[in-house]
Amino acid sequence: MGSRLASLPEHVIRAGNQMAVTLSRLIEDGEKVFHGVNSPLPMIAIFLAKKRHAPNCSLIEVAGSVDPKPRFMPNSTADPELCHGAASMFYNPDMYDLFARGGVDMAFLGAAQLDKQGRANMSYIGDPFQPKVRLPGGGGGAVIMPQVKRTVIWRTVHDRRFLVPRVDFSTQSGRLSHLVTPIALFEKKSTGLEIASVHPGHSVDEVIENTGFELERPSVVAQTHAPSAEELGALEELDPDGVRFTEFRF
Amino acid sequence: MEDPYTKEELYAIPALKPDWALIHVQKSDPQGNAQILGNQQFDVEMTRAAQKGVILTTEKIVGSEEIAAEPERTTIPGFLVKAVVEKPGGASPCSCHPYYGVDKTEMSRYMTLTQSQDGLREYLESTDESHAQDAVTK
Repeated sequence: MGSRLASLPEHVIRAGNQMAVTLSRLIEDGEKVFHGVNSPLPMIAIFLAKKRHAPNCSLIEVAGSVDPKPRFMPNSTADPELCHGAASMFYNPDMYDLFARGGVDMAFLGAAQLDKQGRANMSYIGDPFQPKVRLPGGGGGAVIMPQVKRTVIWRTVHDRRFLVPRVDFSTQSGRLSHLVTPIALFEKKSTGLEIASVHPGHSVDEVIENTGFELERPSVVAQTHAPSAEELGALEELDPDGVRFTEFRF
Repeated sequence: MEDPYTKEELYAIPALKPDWALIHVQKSDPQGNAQILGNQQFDVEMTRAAQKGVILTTEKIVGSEEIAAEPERTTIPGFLVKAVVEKPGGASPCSCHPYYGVDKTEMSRYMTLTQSQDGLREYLESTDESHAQDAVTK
């Protein structure tokens, strides 16, 4: 275990590993999967899927390659290491063309605010002319979300500032399928985002309490499967430096 | 807008037309025929979009015969380029594959100092100003 890991609080390690495996399990074998910049958890999740249950999925790297074999997990998910040993180069314009012709199965995207219908804000908080916070922008999200077969959104916080009744601005929306947070897995249904399962150690009340939009209380609450010993072993082997924890603030 | 072929309703987005593109490459000849090694993100598209042309910084300026020996790697033609500046380390504190990676210490210093206007000034004043002596061709 790297030195960074030694200083991490137990709850962060638990949440990071749970999120990595939960994201990973959403990938199916043979799919073409994309992650963007600033996406350490999805990057690790995709490599984990390739190592375990989805060896034939193709990773379309935002760094501009397909199926790289990095010698280490970089902190930046656009690092040139993510071209090392790649099956092919595939630059960003190629990638957007592939999205446009419906050729990508799954994309992982972030959001600063998200509403029940899956509208995501990456633009600003507050007044558009005097914003309280100027956000980094959606990157390619606005064209990716409507064109990819399914989008998975993740965030390492779960609170009412993130999951809101109404986003300040809809930067991107489209084919959302799941949301993964440190405490739960959500699925987009006809009514919007609903609880699919609650992670071990957390309760449905905690999820409802910390979600700013209305949720249907499930009659039977499913629990997300905890990471198995095999999954944890594979994660440790893949990411000994703990890049998967870099998004957590504590 | 209506697609003239399928009649489908589609979005049309106007092209970005920057005056200049400033990009850093690994290798260029004095005419600006240049090669990007590793990932190139949108740098090549930026060179096409720039209306007035490209200002190129490069890890090193090499002879034209070295560039011409591997034309399949030369993704930026010199006719798009208005100036070539030899600037080893020019991408730092970001990375330039395979010469150097991200300088995490310098990045942290930048992130910390640029939280305030005074810090930003301090950062700018403390950065290397040796560019005045850099060789410029074209």
